[in-house]
Amino acid sequence: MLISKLTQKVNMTPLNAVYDKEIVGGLVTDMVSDVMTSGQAGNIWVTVQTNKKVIAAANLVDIAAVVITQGKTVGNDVLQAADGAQITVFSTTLTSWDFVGELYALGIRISPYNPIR
Amino acid sequence: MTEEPCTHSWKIADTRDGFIVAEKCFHCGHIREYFASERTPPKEEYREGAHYYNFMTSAQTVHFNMRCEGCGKVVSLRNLMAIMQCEHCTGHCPLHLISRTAQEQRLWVYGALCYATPDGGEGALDLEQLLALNAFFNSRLRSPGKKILILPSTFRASPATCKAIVLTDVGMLPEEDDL
Repeated sequence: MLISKLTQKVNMTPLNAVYDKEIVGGLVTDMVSDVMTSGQAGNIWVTVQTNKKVIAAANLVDIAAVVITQGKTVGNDVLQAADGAQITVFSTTLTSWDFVGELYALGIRISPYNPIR
Repeated sequence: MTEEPCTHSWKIADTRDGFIVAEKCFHCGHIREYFASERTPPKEEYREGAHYYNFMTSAQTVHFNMRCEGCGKVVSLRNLMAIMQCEHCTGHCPLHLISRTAQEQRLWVYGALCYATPDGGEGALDLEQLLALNAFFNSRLRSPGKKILILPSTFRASPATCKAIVLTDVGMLPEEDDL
């Protein structure tokens, strides 16, 4: 599903330019180490973290979009970094739990790949 | 007939959750860094040879190796502490110059930070480790034209002046100190 289509179906607001990429699965975590090892290109990443590390990690694994939950605010430096990496950052007032529920209802599932633990 | 060498398809393997721990000898200032897989980072003082180590800081992280899905070859990354992205401390830093130049071509440069060597020097990945790490991250990309280049952090002008985003799970909150 394209990001532009997803924005019409779920409760989220873009905080920077929308880079209309295909969403391939999802990831919910607040740890950048999880993103590095379990994140997949094209994932939508749901988190409460608003640090610049989020964009650096998302860019490394080619995350399609980041959704900041619980209505948390994001600094301009983070959004500038996101624009540089062509990653759309969204905000939602929902909790991560509720937001992932909306994604799940739309058929978006966890990444098919997980590292060997 | 000679067998064709494997072209390698790298995947993350042997992931281990734990902590990066940094300790300092209060006599000579020698800094020791290592990975601890305990449930909590060790904070006890101890003596080793002429050194008396005290806990300095820790960061939650995950360690992993690379394993080829084709031939089963494993490349250990046990000396890799974290991956970092240059934040441009100075225009004279080689890593900054490479990062800034490459970014124009949609090539994103990251640095591979390694644990300090036993003599306190800056560690670095070898060629085999760098090739596996770069091949892995690039093989997963979907965005057209995008590339990742992971270089040894020894490209930095100086660890002391380096300003970087270090991909560890510390410093994510305003009240936390970064690594």
